[in-house]
Amino acid sequence: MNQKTFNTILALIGFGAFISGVLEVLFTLTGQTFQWGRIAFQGDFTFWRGIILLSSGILSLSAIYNPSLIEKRAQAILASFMIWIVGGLEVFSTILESITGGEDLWLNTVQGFLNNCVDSFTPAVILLPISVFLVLIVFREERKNER
Amino acid sequence: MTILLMGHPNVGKSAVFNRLTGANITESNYPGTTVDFTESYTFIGGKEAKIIDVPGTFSTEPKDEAEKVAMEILKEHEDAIVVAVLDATKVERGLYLALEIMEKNYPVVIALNMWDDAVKQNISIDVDRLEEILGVPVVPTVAISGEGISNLANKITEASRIDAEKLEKRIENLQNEI
Amino acid sequence: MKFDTERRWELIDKISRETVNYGADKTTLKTILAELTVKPLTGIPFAVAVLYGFWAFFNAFAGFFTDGFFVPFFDNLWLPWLQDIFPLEGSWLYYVLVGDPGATNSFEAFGILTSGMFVAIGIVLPAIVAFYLFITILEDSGYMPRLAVLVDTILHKIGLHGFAVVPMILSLGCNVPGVASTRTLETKKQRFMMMILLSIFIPCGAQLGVMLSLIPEYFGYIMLYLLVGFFLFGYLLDRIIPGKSPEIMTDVPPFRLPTAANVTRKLWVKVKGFFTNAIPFVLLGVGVVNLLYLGGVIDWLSSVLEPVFTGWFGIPKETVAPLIAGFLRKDLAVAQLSAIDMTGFQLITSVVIISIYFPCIATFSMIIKEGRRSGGILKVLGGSLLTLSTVVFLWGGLLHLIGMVLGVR
Repeated sequence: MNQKTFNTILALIGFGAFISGVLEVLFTLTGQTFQWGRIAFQGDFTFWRGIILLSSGILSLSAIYNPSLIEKRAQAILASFMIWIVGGLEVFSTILESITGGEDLWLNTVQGFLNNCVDSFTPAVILLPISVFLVLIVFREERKNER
Repeated sequence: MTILLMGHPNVGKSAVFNRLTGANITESNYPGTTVDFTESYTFIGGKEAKIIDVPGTFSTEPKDEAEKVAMEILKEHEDAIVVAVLDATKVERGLYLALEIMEKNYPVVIALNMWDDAVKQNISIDVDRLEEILGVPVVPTVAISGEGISNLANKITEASRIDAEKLEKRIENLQNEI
Repeated sequence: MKFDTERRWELIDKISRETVNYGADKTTLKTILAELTVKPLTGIPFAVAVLYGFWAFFNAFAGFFTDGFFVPFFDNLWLPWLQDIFPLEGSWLYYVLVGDPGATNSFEAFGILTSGMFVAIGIVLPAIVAFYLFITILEDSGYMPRLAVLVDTILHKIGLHGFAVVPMILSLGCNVPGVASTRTLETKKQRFMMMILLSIFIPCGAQLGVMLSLIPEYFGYIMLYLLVGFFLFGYLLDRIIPGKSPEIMTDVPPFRLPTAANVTRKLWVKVKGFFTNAIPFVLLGVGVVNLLYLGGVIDWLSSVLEPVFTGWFGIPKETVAPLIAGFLRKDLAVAQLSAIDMTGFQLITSVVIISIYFPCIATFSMIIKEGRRSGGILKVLGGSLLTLSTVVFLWGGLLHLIGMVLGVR
């Protein structure tokens, strides 16, 4: 992959994470929730989630310009891992929550499960596929270099 | 027959132990998790053998309680065969302990564990040459996946005591050859 | 014959020159990533992410089983069924085994078969499975020792030296192996210090799990207060106890992908241990407390200790019963506390006191066992009890004072 594409992806993840992080922190501090389409800024521990996204964003952004340096690539990966943790666990917990059916039901209906799953999600879930893509690419190139 | 597994902390002694005995003790990627010894039985060369997973130790001069335990075990089993488990990426450190044990006149087999890591880090070790110089069996192993373990088990019976003086001479001669 | 140290290294050097060939020193992505996780600037945000991950995973996993299945099972099926079929209502046996005949949820019935089973299976079991699963993955990946190094670096920056971080982190799983691992420390002073600090201030995995499940809103405050206590009393003990406490070095292993086989094996060992060691103790704890209630011992103790409890610590006298259960299992004690009617701040205080007042029986016997190696049993025991009572009164009382000064309830 050429440097330009790599930088573009990094910038996308970096800005995305940084801005959502700042917003999450701000919304927590002012005690507001905010929903835009299906993207929601809400849930538990939003402050810490915001801090994590924010620092992940800074890490990604500061890896731009020189992704040929292995140090910068490692930084980008670390930043992506942080998004994996936040986004991945949200997906995990949404799925588990949707399986149980509440007070009277042991298991949710299939329809209820699906509805619950796509109800709303935080920005980290949107950033998740991009960061998975980024990490896969970096590791693939690394393996090529090793040979 | 008693077999002692000895080596630095976190070189995979417990993993080798599990592989050799089929036991289920905890392996951790974490130095210092085995502070007590565990023993189990297995068959080596058709004979029943007791295997002891000795706590990790850096040298035979103990610096803390876990190392003291290790040395007590070594002293208690004068007729034991020692499997010196080495981290293949840090051969020198491990050889120091192995050498100390050989000097104490125990029969030794060397397991070069974490061989896969050494390969990944571009470290190559001439196993045959090492065997020749030291005069004891040397076996590359990857205990986590089990590679080399059956080979190690076979070589345990070939463990031999080393005359330190002759060893020293062999090593000195090496330098002359080059 | 034996060589001296220098000669031995000389020989090894020659052997290695002949047989080992270190290829071009490659800086791989893995090694740099490994470095980034221990440098404070990049390591701290990542550690925050991992801790958040732990919390999120725990919540999702334990909540799935506890709230999704066990609570409805125990409340809607198990409890009514037991209340229905169990004979001898009104007898002492009924009281001990089933508890309150009018209870509407398993939590407040207080019988061995009701609350005891519910706490053990419904709350603690999912909690420890979630806890150990996450910890095992962190351990096997090699992140744990890195976290230890990071914590160590930060401690040094704020002027705290000589804390053994590895036993601390092990203790978060269970205090028993934590205390055992102090054996790797070099001086008697260090061993004594870490043993006592760990067993007083570091809550074990089961207790952490119950706190996260039942009182998540206070979890942060409780941990903060305990950790500050850990370091403060560590600093003081370091001054008071004679002897040296040298630097502690941790060997950092490489990152590895955890294998499913090893993770499941470790988890299985823990879960098996839970069924054989923990569940009997939880049930026994409920039973003992119920019998003491019946014998009037608890009411008597409550009234005797009331001045200390309400006056000094500011907590209700009903907390005597959980304190007794806490000798056996701290997780059970926390669960019982959360069922008592009191204010938020009182709950925080009483959970802190449950944590610090005495190590659980398993940890205590480990201290006795290790004490033999670390300067004589009487010295260790006397020292621990002295430290223990000082800490409980000062640190517990201080929290009450803080509450009064801040005016929180």
